[in-house]
Amino acid sequence: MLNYIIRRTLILIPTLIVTTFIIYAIVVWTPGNPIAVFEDPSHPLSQLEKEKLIEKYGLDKPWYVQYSNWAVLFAQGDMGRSFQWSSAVWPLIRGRIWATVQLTGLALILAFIIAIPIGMISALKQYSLLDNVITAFAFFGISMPNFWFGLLLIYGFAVTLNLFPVSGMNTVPEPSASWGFLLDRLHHLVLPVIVLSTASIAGFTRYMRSQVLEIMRAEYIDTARAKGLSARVVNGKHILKNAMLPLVTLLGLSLPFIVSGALIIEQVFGWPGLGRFFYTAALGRDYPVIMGILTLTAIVTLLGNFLADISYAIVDPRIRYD
Amino acid sequence: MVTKRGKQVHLDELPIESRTFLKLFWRQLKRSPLALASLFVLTVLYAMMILAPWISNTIAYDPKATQSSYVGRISGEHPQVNEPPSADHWFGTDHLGRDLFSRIVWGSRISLNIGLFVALVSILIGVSLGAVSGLHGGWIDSLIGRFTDVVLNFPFFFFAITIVTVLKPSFWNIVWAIALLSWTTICRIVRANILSLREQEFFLAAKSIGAGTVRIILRHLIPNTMAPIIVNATLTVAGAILAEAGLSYLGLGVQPPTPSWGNILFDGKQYFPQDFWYTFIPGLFIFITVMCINFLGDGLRDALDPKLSSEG
Repeated sequence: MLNYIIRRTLILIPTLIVTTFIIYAIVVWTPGNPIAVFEDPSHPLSQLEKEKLIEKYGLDKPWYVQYSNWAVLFAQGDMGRSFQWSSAVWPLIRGRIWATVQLTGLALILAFIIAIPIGMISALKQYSLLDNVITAFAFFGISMPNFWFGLLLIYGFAVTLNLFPVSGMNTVPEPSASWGFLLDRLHHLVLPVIVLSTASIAGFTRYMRSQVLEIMRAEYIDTARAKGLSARVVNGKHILKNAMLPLVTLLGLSLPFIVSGALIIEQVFGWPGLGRFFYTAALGRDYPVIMGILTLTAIVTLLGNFLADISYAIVDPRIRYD
Repeated sequence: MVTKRGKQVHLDELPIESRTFLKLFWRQLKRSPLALASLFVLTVLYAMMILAPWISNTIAYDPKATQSSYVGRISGEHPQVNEPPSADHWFGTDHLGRDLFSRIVWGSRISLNIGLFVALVSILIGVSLGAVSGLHGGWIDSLIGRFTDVVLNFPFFFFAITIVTVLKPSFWNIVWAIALLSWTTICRIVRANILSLREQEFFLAAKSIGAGTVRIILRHLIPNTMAPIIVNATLTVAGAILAEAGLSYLGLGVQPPTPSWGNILFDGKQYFPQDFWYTFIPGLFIFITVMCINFLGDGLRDALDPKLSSEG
């Protein structure tokens, strides 16, 4: 087990290096002039100014030097300076992650709370009317373009019924009382969280359903029934517990969603999070910001996969890794 | 003696039917009304895509005719900008006075084709890498395996946006951006399947009569992993259509004046919520298409894999 963890940890680093290298190659070395960002059409840069910029950002160095300079600085926690905002990248990102996490974290928690019982019921009553209705909803949720769903909700609940705010994180001016502030924030969170969690609920429900169905066919369930255990005990203890095991994996695999899951929805609801920030950076070709956010999400994804594997190995003693 | 349609018949009298892959598959699919209905809707949508020029010439309007350039053909009246749906303009008109029904019909060419091409490219990459990986094993297998891990680390939308903004949004750039992130599942499925197939005797038999690697892959291994590839490709089409729509929503889809469902929605967004139908209709088309593809994919999975027939 310990051996396995060490091996998995050692693989993390080369994987991360190759990942960032490919991202760097795509972002920085694509055709087109990276210093064009600074070029003001009405005020063309002189040759000297261009050369200065090229030197300042190290663009005159060979590719491997450029990449390793970036990587060494990144490893020390220095993501470089944003072209657009003339500030260091990390404080800019840090300020926006929290906004995104409120959205995605709540959506994810909600998805798990709703999907586990629904998926379980759906499987226990396989092919019943209830199961068919749940399955139909799951397909709706998976197939709906989430930005469109968001627009529908805004139209219905914010514009027509006037129940929720159309966009933003808080009412302007912000309520001063801390309770008022919190309620106001929650009020703004309702619609985007519903939209974000819908697809996850649908996916998790299907997953849970197939897990439970598989376990219901296992022989130890027949044994439990044959012993005369009540349906409640069999369902709650034998089936539910075993079906929850793989959810540990699902939780780990959902980790990147927390950082990158809300990109389009932030745009729809005017939520000042990481996704919107990335979008503006991408349009403005703000390379240090693009690199910073992409690398950060890649790290979170790697960690998520890592945690999923490790925790699964810990909870399920049947799995042997040697 | 067996019973057929209530009559006792001798086994020898039964007609011998060859069961081809397609026949088997159709027989199974017929049992799922939802999958059949979805297949029907998709056929209509794809027919609409192919017949787009004919439709806009006969029963609808020229998709490029704006308010100023417009010469009335049916009613003789000039269309208004952002006109709500009416008998004349079934889906209304857009902000330039163009007929939205016609633009939706033409827009299907981008949205539906992107789905198909992404699936094709993903199959091509996924199957070749997966086959080589499973068959060759050793360091090539590890290399491809690690590379798949790396690609799985790319956050989908962040990465697609980066590629599209850096390379400019065009049909093929969008196809590449999505396909380069979508082949991993197919690759893993093919690899896993080939690992188990190569332990079976027909593989040894093929090898022992001197079949070459390429022949073994194409004639023996791929046909035997066809079922999961098809199911996965179906889901890839659905995912790609959603991804293209998402990129378009951010203004990074195929650029105007070419219509796509996504960029019609992007245009309509500026007139939201006053002209609600302008965003509602293109979104509805995306939703229905993706849902039908998902239903079909689910039906196909049941039809092609008897082991999975009762599971999700």
